[in-house]
Amino acid sequence: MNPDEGSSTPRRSRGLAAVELDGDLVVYDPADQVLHVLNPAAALVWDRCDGTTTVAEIVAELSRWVARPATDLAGEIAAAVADLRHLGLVDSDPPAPRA
Amino acid sequence: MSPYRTARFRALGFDFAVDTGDAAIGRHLDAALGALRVPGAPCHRYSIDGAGGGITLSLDGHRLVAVDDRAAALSHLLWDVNRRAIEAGGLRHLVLHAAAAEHGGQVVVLPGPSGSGKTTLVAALVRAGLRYVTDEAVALGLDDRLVHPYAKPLDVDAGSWAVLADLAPAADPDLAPYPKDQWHLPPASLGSAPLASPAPAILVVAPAYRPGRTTVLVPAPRSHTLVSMAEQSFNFGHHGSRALEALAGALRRCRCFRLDYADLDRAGELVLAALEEVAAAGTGSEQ
Repeated sequence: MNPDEGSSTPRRSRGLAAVELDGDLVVYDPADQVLHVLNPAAALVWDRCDGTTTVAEIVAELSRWVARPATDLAGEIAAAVADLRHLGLVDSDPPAPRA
Repeated sequence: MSPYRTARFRALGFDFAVDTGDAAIGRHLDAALGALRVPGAPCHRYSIDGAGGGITLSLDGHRLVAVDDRAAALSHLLWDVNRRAIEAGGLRHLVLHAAAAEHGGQVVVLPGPSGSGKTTLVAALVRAGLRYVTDEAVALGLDDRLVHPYAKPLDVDAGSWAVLADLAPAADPDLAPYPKDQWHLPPASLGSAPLASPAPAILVVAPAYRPGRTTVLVPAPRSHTLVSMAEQSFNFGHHGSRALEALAGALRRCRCFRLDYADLDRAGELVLAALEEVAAAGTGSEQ
């Protein structure tokens, strides 16, 4: 995960509807009239995409939850965010300005 | 030919009767649509006029189509009724492309595209003792999340005639060339009264007719079942998030399976066993 990715603050796209079924999340995009199934891990990442939490913070939080080193998870979570962005489920906000 | 006026019918929200100079057609429709019969005056009137050289189908005085024979007139009228029923029923329901049958106040839903074998399977289930709900359009209440009755005639295509041979309609020279390529079976011909009041679904089985393959019932995740049912529905996009909530709410009570079948008897046994198991468990939500 490069520094720009780590400092980006992805945000769940507006107007989506979601329901949980057995840990999976079914997300409906009314604009495109498309449904997506997120597995529990992807659902957890999507849930943390609130527009203020950075990807690095999401990695740190999930690393505590699943008791795995952040360095192991960083690549997977960055890929998950990229997938969610590609599906239109998170907005492509620009990275937060560096201090 | 003397005029024939059918009973009044209500198909989901669509309310109609049929006038025709052809009494054989009128009698056929009264039988086929008998489960949808309601008292009183209809809101809409079809008319079927002409014979021999051409038959015209109209609704409320507006010509819909001209066809060559009685079989085509019947098929087109029943297709049009179903289309308008789905449209009218879709105002208050999520209408799923599915068949359904009921037992003990609980419904098994059989979603699938045309040709998946859902009409054949629901006919087999009803002959095994379940009550008929529908063979084509399951109306799921957006508010109560219950399956609402829509006991339309079963449209049995020629490909299924051999396995349902005992249900073949009696030949009627006055209706020739019906049945040309489709039977319109009254639910009563299956030997049980159809579902009369809304009931919860507890089992979803998505059939796929696969000739030559082993018949198997395989558990399916509710999430993927929801997506498949939504994609097969007639109006999910119209109701959007409300439909999503209603379908998810209904599916939380259900166990879900995929059924690949070539052997109709074996398929019926597997569905009945699953229904018995889910009913005995008291709820499908423990999957």
